Amino acid sequence: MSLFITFEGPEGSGKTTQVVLLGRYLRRKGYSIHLTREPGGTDIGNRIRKLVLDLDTRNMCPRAELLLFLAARAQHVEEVIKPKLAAGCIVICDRYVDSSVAYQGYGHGLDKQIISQVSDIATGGLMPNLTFLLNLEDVEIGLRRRLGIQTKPQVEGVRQIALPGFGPQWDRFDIEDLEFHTRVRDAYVALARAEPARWIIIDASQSVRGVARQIRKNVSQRLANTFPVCLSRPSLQEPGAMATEVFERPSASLSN
Amino acid sequence: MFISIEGPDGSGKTTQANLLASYFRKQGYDVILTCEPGGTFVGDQIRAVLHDPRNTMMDAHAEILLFSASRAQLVREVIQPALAVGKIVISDRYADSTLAYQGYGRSLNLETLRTITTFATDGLMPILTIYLDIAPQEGLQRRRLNGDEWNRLDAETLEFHQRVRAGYLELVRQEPQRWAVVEATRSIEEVQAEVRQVVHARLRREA
Repeated sequence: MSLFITFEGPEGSGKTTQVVLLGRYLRRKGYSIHLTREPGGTDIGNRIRKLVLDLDTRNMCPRAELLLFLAARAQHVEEVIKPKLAAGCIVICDRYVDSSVAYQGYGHGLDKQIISQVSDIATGGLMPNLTFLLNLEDVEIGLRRRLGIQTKPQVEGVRQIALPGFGPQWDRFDIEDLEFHTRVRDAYVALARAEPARWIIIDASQSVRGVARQIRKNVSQRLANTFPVCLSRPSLQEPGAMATEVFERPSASLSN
Repeated sequence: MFISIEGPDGSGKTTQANLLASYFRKQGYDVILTCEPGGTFVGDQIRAVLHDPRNTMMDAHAEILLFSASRAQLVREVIQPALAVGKIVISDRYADSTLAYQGYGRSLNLETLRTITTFATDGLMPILTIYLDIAPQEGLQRRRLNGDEWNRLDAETLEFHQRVRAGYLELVRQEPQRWAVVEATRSIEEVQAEVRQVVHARLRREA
C-alpha cells in the first residue's frame, strides 16, 4: 500500500507541522507510514543538513549547495525511501526534488535542465505520487513565521507535537532577500501548474486546521482511487498497528 | 596557468605538487596549491563526511555528489579568482580523479559523471594534467610505510585500484594534448625533474 507524498513550499508555510499532522492522521487509520525530510533522513543527510544550514558556510556557492542537497537526496532515496516504499509504507517527505528546482533553479538561477538531469541521477528517477504545495501569496508571512513571530493564533497543542529539531530556526536561507523568496514562490506555482496530476496547491495562509483538513481530504481521495479495495483497513501485519483497533467503515473515514 | 596532477594513491602527487609549487615560487610566481577534496571551509567539512570510516554504506552517487560539491566550492572560491589575477594554480587531484575513481573504479556511468563534473567546475579544465603512473600494489605499500592514515577509500580492493589505473591510462589516450605521463617508480628528485621538463615543454607549446 505504498504511496510517496512530498510537501513543498516556501519558508514558514507550515510544511513541517502538516507533515506531522498527516502522519498522525494516517497512522490512526492504520497505515504504515514513514515521516522524513530533506536534507536529512539519514546519518549522512543529517550531517549535510547541518553543514548547509550552518551560518559559517554562508559563502557556499549555489552549485556546491545544489550538489550537497543532491548528495543527501541520493543517500536518502537509496537508504530510506525506496526500501520503505518497497515495504508498503506511505512515505511523507518534507521537501524533495522540487525544492532544488525552485531554490537552486529559479531562486539562484542555475540551469534548470541540468538540475533536472542531475536530480534524476540522484533519485534514479523516483518521483512522488502526490505533492502538496503550501502556497503563501504573501511571502513575508512565511519569513516572519520562521522568526517565531505569530501572525495568526496557532491551534492549541500543535507546537508540542513538532519532532525534535524541527522548530523554527534562523538559518542561512532566511538572511537572503524577499525577492529571492518571491522567485521561489512563483517557481513553485509554475511547477504545480505544469503537473496538475501530481500537485495539489493549498492556501497556506489558512489556519493549521483548515490546511490539515484539505490535505486529509486529498490524501483520502488519492488512497481511495489507488487502493479502492483496501480503503481504511489497517494491515495487522504492519508494525505499530494495534490489534484492538476497530475497523472504520469507509463512509466514516471520508467524513473529514 | 592551471595545472593538475593526477595518479593513484602513493604515486607521490602531493610531494610532486609541493615541489613544483616551490620551484615556481622561487622564480617569483604567485602559486596556489589545491588539494581535493577540501581546500575551502565548506570543502573541508565535506571531506570529513567523505573520509569518515563510519560512513561505509554511503551510496555511490551520494559520494560523487559530495566530491563534486567540494570541487564546485573550490573552483568558485579559490581557482577561478586566482586564475583571474594571473596566479599559477596547481591542483593535487581534480576532475579527472572523479572519472578515474568513480567512473572506471566504481563503474558509474561516465556520461553521468561528465555531466556532474562539468556542472561543478563550470567547464574549467587545466591546460596541463600530469599523470604519475605507478602499479597499485606499490602505491598502497608506499602510503602505509609513510604512516598515512588508513581511510575508508583505502579499504577498497586491489582490483578497484587496478581499474582506476586503467581508467587513467584511457583518459590519457582520449586527450593526449592535455595529459603528460610521468613514471613515478623512481626517486622523488628524478620524478620532479621530469615534471618540470613537462611543464616547460607545455609552456613553450602555448607560447
